Amino acid sequence: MIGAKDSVSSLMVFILITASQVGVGVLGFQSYIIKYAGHDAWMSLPIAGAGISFIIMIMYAMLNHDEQGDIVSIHSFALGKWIGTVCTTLFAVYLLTMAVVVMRTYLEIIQVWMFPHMSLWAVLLFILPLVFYIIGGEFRIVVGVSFFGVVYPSLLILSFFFPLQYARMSNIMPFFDHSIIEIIQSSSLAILNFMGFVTLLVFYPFIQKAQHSQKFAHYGNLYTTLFYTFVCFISFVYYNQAELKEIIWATLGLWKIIELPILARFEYFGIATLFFSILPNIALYTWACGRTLSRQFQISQRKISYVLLAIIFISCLFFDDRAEIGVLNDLTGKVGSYFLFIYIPILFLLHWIRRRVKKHAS
Amino acid sequence: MRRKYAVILLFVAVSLFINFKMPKQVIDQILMVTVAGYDYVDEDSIRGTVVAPTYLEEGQLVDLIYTDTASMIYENRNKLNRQASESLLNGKLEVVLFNRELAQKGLSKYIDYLIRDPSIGTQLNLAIVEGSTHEMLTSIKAKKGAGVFLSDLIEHNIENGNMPIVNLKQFSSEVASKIIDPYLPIIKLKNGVPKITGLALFNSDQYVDKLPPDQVMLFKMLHETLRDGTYFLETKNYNAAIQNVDSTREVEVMKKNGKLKVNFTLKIDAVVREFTGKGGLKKKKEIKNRFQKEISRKSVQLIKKLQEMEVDPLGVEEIVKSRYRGYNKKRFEETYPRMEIDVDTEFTLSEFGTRR
Repeated sequence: MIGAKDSVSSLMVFILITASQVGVGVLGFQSYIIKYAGHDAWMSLPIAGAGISFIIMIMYAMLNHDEQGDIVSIHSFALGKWIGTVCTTLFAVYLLTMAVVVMRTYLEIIQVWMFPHMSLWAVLLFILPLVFYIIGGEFRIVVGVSFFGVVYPSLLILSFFFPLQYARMSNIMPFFDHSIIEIIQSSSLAILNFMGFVTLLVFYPFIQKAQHSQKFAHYGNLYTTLFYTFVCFISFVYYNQAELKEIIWATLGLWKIIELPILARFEYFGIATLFFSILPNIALYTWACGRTLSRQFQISQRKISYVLLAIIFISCLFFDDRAEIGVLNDLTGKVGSYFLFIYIPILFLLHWIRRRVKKHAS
Repeated sequence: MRRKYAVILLFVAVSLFINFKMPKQVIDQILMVTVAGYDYVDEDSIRGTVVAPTYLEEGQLVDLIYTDTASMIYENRNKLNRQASESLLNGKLEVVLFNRELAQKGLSKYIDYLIRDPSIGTQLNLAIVEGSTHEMLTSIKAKKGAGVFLSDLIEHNIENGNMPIVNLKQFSSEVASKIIDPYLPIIKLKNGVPKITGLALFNSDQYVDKLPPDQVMLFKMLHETLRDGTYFLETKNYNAAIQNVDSTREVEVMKKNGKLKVNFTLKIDAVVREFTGKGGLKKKKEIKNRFQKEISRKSVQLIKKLQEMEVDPLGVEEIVKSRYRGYNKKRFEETYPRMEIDVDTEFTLSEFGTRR
């Protein structure tokens, strides 16, 4: 069982949710959410945020009534031992894939923007021990890193006011030029950015008075939704639609306009600062994956962590160009939105029915 | 425990060692290009000239100039590197010049590298040169170097003068938008000194015509919010110069008899700085009316001229598109040259200087 020493206060749910939601996605989500709703797509972010809040509600309703309060026991309770094990394993694989996606995308950005000659495997040897240091100990360390992952990058918000001098409101006018359906379709693409919060299904038991922490989860989600909407709005008035279609990392492009007397290229500062936001992402995903597997198969989490980090190391080397990383991003995005909006509600229903049946039986 | 840290330390050491061998760029062994100029040679080759300052002693610098012809900008850079004593890098690029012939062929394939290269900022200044950019770059004898000289020349005219805001960001996004036509400052070498001689107008990425300097001010007022401009009025009895012109523009789109009508309203607030003639302050009202009328009249003329050239640097199409839901690109382009565009001016003369 989880001791008091290892659990964190319920306020930390805010930090964990926010840290897990802001990651590499923030650097380039603008150019793919315009697929359906064009210049109205910035409105799809609040909608996506509201959808996520709804899912958080369902998750809490499920977790609060579960004995152990995590995905492993929910699966085995709702789906039975065998199917439960399969689903848990798939969930763990998904978490690991997300860790790889985040890591690889971030390294790609470093390669393109800063050091084209950088040796990938050598940098991984630098970062992965750090990740191991974070996840190898107590959960509190992960939370601590997440805290910095929220606080440091939040200063970058100020930098987004610079591009406003080139803002053209006409880029996003007229409002509601697209139907609500199209905006909702776009918001389904925006969901990928928020995916990190599924780790809630794993870290829930580590929270003190977990049942009362739901409001903090919603606040955390609200913060990220506002943050994403803000960044998206700024990018949409700064770029026109034709530019957004061409650009890969719109947020980094915003920083290209900033020239400070002591710093000619602000992106370098921005990319470096974002490492604080990437690190908790990778750590949280890997930790959650390790925790799920160790709970399911009764192996020590430390041993699993070695294996997981080795897998991350190898897969990051395996994907080595933009197109492959793009495919991986799309795939995890699709799987993620099915997982959230179809699988989670179904799981909730099954869990609820099982609970009812059990109650009647006893 | 100790073994674990030893392994981590080993990993970090290996990582540092491997990445230490990454190609480095030491400041003494590179040349930072500050200006690049491109001239049209023939259908598939351009002549590229780059200027990179090298520092001699405290406060002294010498511009090294390299030039060669090639079909692509990077091929050109490659050839130039064969002449240069140190490798040429883009990180400090301040100004890129294109000559007019090249601009007539279309600039979009030459600005691609500027947008694609992450080391180039988007506040980069672009300009069109009448004549050869090579000649211009070799003739600049400024102490601060050609790059800083040219970028200062353009920037101070944007900030305090009559040149509308323009840089790589604005130009490339207007080219990409397909609804606004871009513009760039145009520079010419006069008696060995570069001088801004107007505004180059583009149809998409192709140079079309040039706006003379006296109309650039009007253009700026119609195009954006103006903070500090100057304007001159000449009549039979007196000449007047107004300065510290603050102006804002408002644009309305109306539908009249099934046709679109666009109305610009300029709100101008200004101070008289020079007045030659009799009457002075007594004529304030008259001067005010004169200015108001003249600005409206000349603005309408300017817009007519733009319409005749079928270029739309003022973004009329953008405004129509953003305000009017029935917008159709093809229909707009057909009607644009004949569209009714009006200008109203609300002029306030707040001060008359220190004399009556």
